[in-house]
Amino acid sequence: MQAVIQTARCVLALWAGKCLLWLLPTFKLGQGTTVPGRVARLLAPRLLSWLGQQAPQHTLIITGTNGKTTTAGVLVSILKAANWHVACNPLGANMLNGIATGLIRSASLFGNLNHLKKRLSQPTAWVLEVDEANVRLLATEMPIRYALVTNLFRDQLDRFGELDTTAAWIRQGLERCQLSEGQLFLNASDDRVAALASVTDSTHVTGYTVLPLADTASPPDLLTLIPSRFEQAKPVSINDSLNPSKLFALNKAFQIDSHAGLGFTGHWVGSGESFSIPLAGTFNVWNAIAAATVAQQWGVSAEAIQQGLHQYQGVFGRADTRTLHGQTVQIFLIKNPMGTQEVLRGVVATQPAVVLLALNDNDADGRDVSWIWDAPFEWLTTLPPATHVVCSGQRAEDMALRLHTIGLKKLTVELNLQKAVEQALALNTDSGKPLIMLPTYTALTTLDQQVLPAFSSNP
Amino acid sequence: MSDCSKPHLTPSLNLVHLYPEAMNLYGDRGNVLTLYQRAHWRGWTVTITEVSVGDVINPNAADIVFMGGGQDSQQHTIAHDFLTVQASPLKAAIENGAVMLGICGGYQLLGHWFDPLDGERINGLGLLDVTTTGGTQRLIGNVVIDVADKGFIKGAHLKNVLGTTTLVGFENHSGQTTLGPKARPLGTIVKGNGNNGHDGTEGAVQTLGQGLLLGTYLHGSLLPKNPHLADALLAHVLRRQQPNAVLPPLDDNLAWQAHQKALLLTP
Repeated sequence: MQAVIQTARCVLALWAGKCLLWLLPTFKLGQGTTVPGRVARLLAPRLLSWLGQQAPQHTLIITGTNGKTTTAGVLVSILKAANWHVACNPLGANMLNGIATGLIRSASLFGNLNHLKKRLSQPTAWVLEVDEANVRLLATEMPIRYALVTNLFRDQLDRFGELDTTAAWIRQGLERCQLSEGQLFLNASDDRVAALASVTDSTHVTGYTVLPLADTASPPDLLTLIPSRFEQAKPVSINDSLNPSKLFALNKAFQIDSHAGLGFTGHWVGSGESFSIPLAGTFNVWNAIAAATVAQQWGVSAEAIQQGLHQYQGVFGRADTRTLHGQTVQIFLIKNPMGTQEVLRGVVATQPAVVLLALNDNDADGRDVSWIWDAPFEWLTTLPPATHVVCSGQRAEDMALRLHTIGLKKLTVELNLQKAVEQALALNTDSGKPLIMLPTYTALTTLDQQVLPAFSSNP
Repeated sequence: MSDCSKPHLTPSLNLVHLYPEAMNLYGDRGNVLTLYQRAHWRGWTVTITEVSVGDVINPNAADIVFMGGGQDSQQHTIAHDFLTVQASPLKAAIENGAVMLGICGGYQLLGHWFDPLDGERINGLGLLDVTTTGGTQRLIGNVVIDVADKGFIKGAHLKNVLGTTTLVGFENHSGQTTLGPKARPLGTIVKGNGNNGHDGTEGAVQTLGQGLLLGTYLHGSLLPKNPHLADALLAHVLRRQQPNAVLPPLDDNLAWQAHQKALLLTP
């Protein structure tokens, strides 16, 4: 009787969630990426574990400080190209409520998550992007046999305290997973991530790495004379340093061979199998290779992997190009020093005439803006002196001060994001170059939901 | 024909950055960059020396020594080197007239000791009369302090162009620091927690010989948004070389805009 009541409660909560999924976007009350899950879980606290009973063998969680959303997006694209049935939590909603929302969206009215399968034999996967602090919570709600950790860079330290704490939380989460029935995928070039290999037997760990182009530029010393102290993704040799303590049974290394337009080409070391990654930014090669490593382990063909990479539609702001008033606009999320370094590498390569930086300090951005002093904005000094930088967002002054301190001259401070975009577009007219926008997370959301739609509707 | 009225004396700044790799958690590079640029813009000769494990501070080439904060694990890796190899040359440099600025972990290691919540006491250098104990709650957020009447550097003009005596920054620490009788607070809390969240003080200042020790939990980075503090340190360096010289002003419009913004932030 108790079980029947529980199930009924979960079904009712599911219906409530589904109603909100329809209501919120319809009445423009938000994108509905977390609220439906939150309300449903309030109504039925056991909802997630009830839906979690259906977790397939191929249930993968993706965690780490950077690249979760893109890695999950690329993997879903690959699996769909290979004709898998996939459930996921899109749009970076990666706490328990966001994950619940994703499952509510995929479930039938009675909670069946397999009802849309084309045939019984169609392979099924759940690909769940999980916040670093939520892994240990999710792992108690459902059986997880596959996990991937992208990296542990400095990110939102004011939220979690320190990277070692974040690593410890992920470790606790991984210990609650059933990795001995699956596989743990780890970025082998990130020492903190690689150390997580000890949570399970080495035969259940796959390390992956990306070997950069030989001539990849390092940050210029320039007038600061202060050597940039970034831990670059270290080029590692497959035979020795990658596998020092036999932590990994299998290693996958991808060698970048060339830049191709906005993307890259390269090959797997060993098999020599090559493919192209049509995404801007070296960091996206890491994301794509992480996804490809999982897909290969799951038996997806090289053709489907290549096809999935080409069909991947960038999540807004993670690698986004659009047209505004006839100008090409490229938008990249910035949020921490390491990710920003990779973004700036790409920005400098495109030699833009105008860059718009939007620095907010809401909780989702990190309230502490000191990270901008650790990101190598010095690279912008290699652009021609005529390059304009428009600084916007709640902490526009801090951003402008950062650039002033390294000697940039053509700086504009405009706190209002709408006006800042107008100015940047005006400055960029006739430049023939893409306008680069580098917003932090909530500035990106404002751009996406309020500012840019206004420009598209009033050309 | 050149005007040969006076020999032109170029001030010099020897800036020592201690453990730039291990102790660089919260934008500490911004402090070094700001000191560098503010001296460079005024035509000084600037040398930055990075001292890591394996190097030794040269007490004769250290006008300002800076040390930032690190993660606990990184702090452990440098603590031994700091307390053994660097201790006596650092002390000599300060007694000679150098300014030592320690932020967060750098501040704690200048004190007598740090007692973590779990684990054994970690000894500090003991040059600054402060002690730190681990707290159960991390003190995180925006901070505003008032340094009025502290006079921590003789003659330093902290009544800046805005007529304020505030310092702004961001704190993120679980250690709670208490000052002994020899140390004075850097300032009093206007917003935020400061040294320990209950006695209303932030940071510590103490003289040693001709020199000075400054410790604080403020990052953000500290010096870019507080150009008057950066200049107070540079003025101390300048006075040792040219007793009557004054620092020429710089265009600090953006720095003050950022400072003003920070005054308005919620803690």
